[in-house]
Amino acid sequence: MTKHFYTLKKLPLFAAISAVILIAGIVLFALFGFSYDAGAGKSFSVTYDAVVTIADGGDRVEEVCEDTFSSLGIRYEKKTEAAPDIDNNSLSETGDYTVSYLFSEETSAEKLSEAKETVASALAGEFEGADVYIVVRTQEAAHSFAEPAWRGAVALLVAVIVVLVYIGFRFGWGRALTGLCLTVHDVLLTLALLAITRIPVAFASPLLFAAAAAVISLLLWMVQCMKMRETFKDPAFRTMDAEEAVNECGRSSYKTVLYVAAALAVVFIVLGAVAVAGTRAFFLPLLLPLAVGAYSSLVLGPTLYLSMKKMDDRSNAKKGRYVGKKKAEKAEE
Amino acid sequence: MGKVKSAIVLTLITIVIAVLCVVCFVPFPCDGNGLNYFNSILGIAEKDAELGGYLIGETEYVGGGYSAVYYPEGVISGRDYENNLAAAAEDEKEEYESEYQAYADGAIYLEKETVLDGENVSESFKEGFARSVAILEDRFERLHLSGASVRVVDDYTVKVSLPASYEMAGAAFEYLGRMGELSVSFGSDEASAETVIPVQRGTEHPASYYIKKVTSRTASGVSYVILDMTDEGREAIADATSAVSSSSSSYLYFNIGGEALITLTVSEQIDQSSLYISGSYDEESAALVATILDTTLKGGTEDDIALSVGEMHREQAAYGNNALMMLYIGLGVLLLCSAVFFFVRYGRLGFAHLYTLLIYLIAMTLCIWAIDFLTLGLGSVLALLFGAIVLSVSDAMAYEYARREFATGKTMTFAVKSGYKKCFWHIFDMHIVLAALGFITYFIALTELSVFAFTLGIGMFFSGLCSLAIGRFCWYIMMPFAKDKAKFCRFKREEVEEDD
Repeated sequence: MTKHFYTLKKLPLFAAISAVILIAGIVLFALFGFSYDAGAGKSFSVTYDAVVTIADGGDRVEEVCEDTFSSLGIRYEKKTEAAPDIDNNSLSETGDYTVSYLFSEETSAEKLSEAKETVASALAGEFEGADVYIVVRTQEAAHSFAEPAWRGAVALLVAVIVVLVYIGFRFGWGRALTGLCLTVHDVLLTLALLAITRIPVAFASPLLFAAAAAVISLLLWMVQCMKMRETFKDPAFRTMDAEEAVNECGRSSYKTVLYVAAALAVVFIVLGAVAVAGTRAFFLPLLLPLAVGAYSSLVLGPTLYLSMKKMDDRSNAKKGRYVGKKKAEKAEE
Repeated sequence: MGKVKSAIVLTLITIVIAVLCVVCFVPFPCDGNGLNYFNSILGIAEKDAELGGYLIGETEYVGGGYSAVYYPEGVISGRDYENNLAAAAEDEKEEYESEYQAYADGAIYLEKETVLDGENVSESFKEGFARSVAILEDRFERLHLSGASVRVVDDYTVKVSLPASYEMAGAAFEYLGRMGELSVSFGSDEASAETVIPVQRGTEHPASYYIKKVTSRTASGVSYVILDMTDEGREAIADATSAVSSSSSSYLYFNIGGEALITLTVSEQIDQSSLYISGSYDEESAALVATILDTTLKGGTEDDIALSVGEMHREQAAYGNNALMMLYIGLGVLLLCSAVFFFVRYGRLGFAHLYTLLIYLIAMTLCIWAIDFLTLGLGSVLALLFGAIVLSVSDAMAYEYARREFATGKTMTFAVKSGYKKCFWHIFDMHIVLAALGFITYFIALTELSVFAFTLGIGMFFSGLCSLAIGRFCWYIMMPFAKDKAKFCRFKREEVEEDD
């Protein structure tokens, strides 16, 4: 932290950085949307009788399929574990199992057709009289539902405004307004980065990422607010001008903010490392809202708050309510 | 508190935590032959479609989801075609073969008479199918279930999925595929019932001219499907039921595509602007029926193509069978990391934090298990983690404040009291803000976000409670065992060191 790190002069720079990322994100989102893992592609499904003809042979069925794919040089993107077929009415198992492999849309139909024949003949040879049905199907991306998205956005906005009213009462309106700006900024910037980086996400993930960004942003800003309130109580701070006070406060609070951010980072990294691909794809990208939240809380927030504190101080001075210096002088006496 | 009292309380707390930990987290066989198995609370807690999915005692399925394929009228699966062909008599096989045309490399078969116009799929079929898919998407969206999805497969079939936590999955698959116009008929039996809505009155109006909307409501444990009628609808029903007496058995049939979805017994004239239909509905089934009727009311036409359910599967976790186990391992590692950090920095005071964290995890597990709409998924795990982090931060904050107070020369008891007093509002503010964020979001949001938000809300509540009350109490009862209280917490008096 350099001396007078938080200056109003730097606000345009930070605003420009955020604006560039936001605009790039909006453009990419408008053109391509998020990189949804919507499950479009070609599915290769093998249904077999797991009770009579291929009892206990499920693993062998999968082995035959996977060997065939590798011999033909095709790679599946996702495998759905053997799922029991169920009766439409009672939901009880029929005895058939289906194992499915999802290939990309670009995978050659001829290769898949060849794989179908190879697997069918291999299984017929291995399990005499086995009841096996293989089908290659082309599935489109799953439809995305709009209502959860817009209601989620409204919910987060309403919730953030309400909690910032509380912050306003507890920590002052300057900090509440800064918090509102930061939270909205962090949520939007996280979504923009998600669109820019093209990280594959499930349908519900952007909403959860937005919520996580809001939580992280509020948490880190709360830490800053607490530190500021505590620090500004010190009579020595009453004699400082706004810039100096915010800068000094930043010096004392950045470590705490970094500790909290580091704890969150450890959580996301550990869960990302010790996880299967699906959950890893959720936890590791959570480092994005964390990085954005840390940047906002440490850099953007104090700079933004500085301008508000200056306005607040001017307003208080006009009203004759700024008695800090007198208090400090009193304390010194 | 004296040493003896502390020892008794600490032993009791330790036993309670240990027992609750076993009940909540550790499944084990109850006998030698493995026939009886004790499932932990975490094991039987509902899982979502992505994470969950395994069998309990080979009878009960927890988590994962169900998938089904809808076939429009005139389209059958390749497997059904092959089975039908094999079952047909030799002299009928050729005729059967000539009725269908393979599509998508034989994945599905199209009935020539219904679907095709010459060699190609007819435009009217394409339009009807597109309309049916749009209604189906609307219906699945309105269920507000995380893990529900709709996708078109092989151009003319629809694959849908629902989470296993949704108890109406079987009925939903069956009824959500019903397409056509909404009509209401009245009579003594379904076959002879006369249509009363829509009715010919100079010009023909759709059902939406008579019925404004269909909703559901549950009050005092009774669930209703509510039909809000327009004046014309109210008049039509009143006219039709005017001659009804309690001795005769007459029924109102609410039909979709000519097939009755609701049969309402009528024993007197119905002349109401809102028709409340109860019966054997629970909250989910009433919502399902209302969704089907309302979407049909808004978008159903007689040209829509009915969809019938084909093959159905019970899907295991979308992220694979090991997803949940690996997540548990990850959470275990984090718990260990947290404990190690606190033991290293605060010595045996780490036990107080460990107890607090375990109580928090137990409380959250019990909540996820007991609260009906909560499922264990990525959203709820993330919220649980936020709660655990805020709890750890709060504990660390309280310990640091106490450390500072102790360093200034206060006694340990007074330092703890003063430390907690000084940081109380910090911890309170942090929790109240995040809990409010969670609960407010929960009331507006849907699906995964609402689960995340509610879990965050209760997580913050328990985190605050554990940090401010339980953590402090644990510290209080552990302290009497330490001969050197400062060493117990790895606190140092700066002034004393300087004097030395």
